[in-house]
Amino acid sequence: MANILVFAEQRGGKFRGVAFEAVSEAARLKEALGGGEVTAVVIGSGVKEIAGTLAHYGADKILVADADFLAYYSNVGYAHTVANAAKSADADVVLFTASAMGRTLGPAVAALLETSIAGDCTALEVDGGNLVATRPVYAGKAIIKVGFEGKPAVASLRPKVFSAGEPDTSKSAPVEDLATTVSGGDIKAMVKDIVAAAGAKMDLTEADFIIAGGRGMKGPENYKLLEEVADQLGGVVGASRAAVDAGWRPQTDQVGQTGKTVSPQLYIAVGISGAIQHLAGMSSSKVIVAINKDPDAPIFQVADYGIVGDLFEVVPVLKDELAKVIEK
Amino acid sequence: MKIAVLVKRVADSETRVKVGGDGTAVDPAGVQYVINPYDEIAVEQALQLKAGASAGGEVIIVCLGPKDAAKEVRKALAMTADSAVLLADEMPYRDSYGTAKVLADELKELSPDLIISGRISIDSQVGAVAPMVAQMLEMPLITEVSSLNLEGETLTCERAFEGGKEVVEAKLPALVTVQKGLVEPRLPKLPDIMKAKKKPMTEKPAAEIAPKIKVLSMELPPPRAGGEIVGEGAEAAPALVKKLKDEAGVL
Ligand SMILES: Cc1cc2nc3c(=O)[nH]c(=O)nc-3n(C[C@H](O)[C@H](O)[C@H](O)COP(=O)(O)OP(=O)(O)OC[C@H]3O[C@@H](n4cnc5c(N)ncnc54)[C@H](O)[C@@H]3O)c2cc1C
Ligand SMILES: Nc1ncnc2c1ncn2[C@@H]1O[C@H](COP(=O)(O)O)[C@@H](O)[C@H]1O
Repeated sequence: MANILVFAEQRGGKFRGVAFEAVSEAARLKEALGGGEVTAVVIGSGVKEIAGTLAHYGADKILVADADFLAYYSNVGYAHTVANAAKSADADVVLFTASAMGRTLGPAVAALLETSIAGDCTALEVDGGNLVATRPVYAGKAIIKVGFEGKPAVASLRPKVFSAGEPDTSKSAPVEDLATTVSGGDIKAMVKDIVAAAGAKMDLTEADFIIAGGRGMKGPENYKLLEEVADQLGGVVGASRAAVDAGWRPQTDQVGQTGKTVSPQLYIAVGISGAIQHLAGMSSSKVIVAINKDPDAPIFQVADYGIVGDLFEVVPVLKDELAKVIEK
Repeated sequence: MKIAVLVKRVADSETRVKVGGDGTAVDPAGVQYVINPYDEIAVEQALQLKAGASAGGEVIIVCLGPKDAAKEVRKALAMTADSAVLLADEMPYRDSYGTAKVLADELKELSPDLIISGRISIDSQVGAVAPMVAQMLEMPLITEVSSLNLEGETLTCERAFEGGKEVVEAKLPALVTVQKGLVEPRLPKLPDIMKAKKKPMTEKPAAEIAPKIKVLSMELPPPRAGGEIVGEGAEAAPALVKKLKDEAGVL
């Protein structure tokens, strides 16, 4: 038996995909722990209407903190609210997502609960009745399993690694108000403005399809080629650090140890050698394709499929071939 | 203005990882240590703020680590930080909570106007220490900042999230964690390396705190079974697409 509290992230009154992933994982874990209750927490402004959908993914109860001052993330507003919910739900397990919000919120809540956090986990399992979390360390060169002392166990899930279940719209759950012990005046670090990303494309961490270009792209103008392939597949373009440091692509496009960790269905590395620091960010992709003119490039050792050749010849043909398949 | 920078010693990112004796940690033999790359950015940002402050300032390095970490702390001093505190750790393993608790207790005594830390450490990869420290000190926190502007007591930072950037404002004292690209860390100059040897470094024992998280096992990741070269040049593209569709099922 275990009570699981799961933070369901929303922005602008819409749940993010990771919210459904986290609630689905909480429901799965509840079964593995021999039953109990999954309580989902939603924080924001004007979010009460959307909260009920979490039942479709397995929430048994939904707590909502809805107030104007909670419209944007703040540690004071969010962390205290989640920590109080964890205490009142008598939570054995508290789950977050390792997103921009969750990476800040999770540890802050753990500190309030006087415990630690297993961050950016790629698997959770139950062993002898105890929760065990799997997480990559040293840029993915090692994988550790960790256990939790005391209560609650706090963990955050790597986006897109845990799958959201098929929503069951016949399910419903009680939606209750969650009292906040803080008010707008208590907030110390306040979001003043939100600037949408240029082009408002999907974030790399949320994409099912990524085509990333490295130093082999030779210059910023050639990324148009990759943009076209990405558009075709409804995906986004990523980059190696070499491309970012050269100023060809923004920092937000960088994949790797000092960039983003991504787990798409398909990752195509174009003109990227496959340095260990790059692999750190993309080796949990489902399928990896490499296009590189050097047959000895290390990227071929992790790629499921590779083409040895000049990217400027290969990618245009690849684009046409993909178009044929996607039209059908 | 007093700025404290949290600096951690980590295994260099080129390190060949081998699992050590008890099967829960990396074998330290042959490991090269460096300052966590994000923390170098944090030190640089602190030094630039000090240089820009009309009333002058002071940059203090705070590190929790084994005694040997003095080497990395000296490197941070050679970047021209003013002084350092090394909280000498005897514990073989410390979790984020225990690390944050020791750092927070020290920082309470130092009472800096601003604390700057890295976004994440490249070895343990949790990114939890700074948010925990901020919570323990009940300080405003802005994480993963890609731009930072200080005017008087008001800090304005940009941070990226999925889909855009938020502009976040806080009053000092505050804690910020830095993202790559914020500033370019300097390479220490030879005279500064010499001067760093004489800069004040206080060594104190770090309190033992029972871990809340335990490493049960460490393993090397299973090698990706892959490595099929579909072909050479543009002619291979149709075969690749066919494989992605029929074999991998990702299209
Ligand atoms: C602390 C630290 C952190 C780091 N973090 C990251 C990180 O987060 N992400 C990251 O990516 N890197 C990171 N790096 C850098 C990393 O070590 C590599 O330097 C970097 O990934 C190399 O980028 P690249 O593969 O694009 O370039 P290169 O290594 O120069 O490779 C370019 C590749 O393109 C191929 N090529 C060239 N022309 C063509 C063509 N016409 N057609 C086909 N192929 C072609 C070449 O054969 C080569 O394999 C980090 C390094 C350090 C020390
Ligand atoms: N032992 C330590 N000593 C000093 N600072 C640390 C220590 N551990 C973590 N930090 C700081 O916290 C940041 C995030 O670390 P982590 O939570 O371990 O990923 C680092 O970039 C450092 O700035």
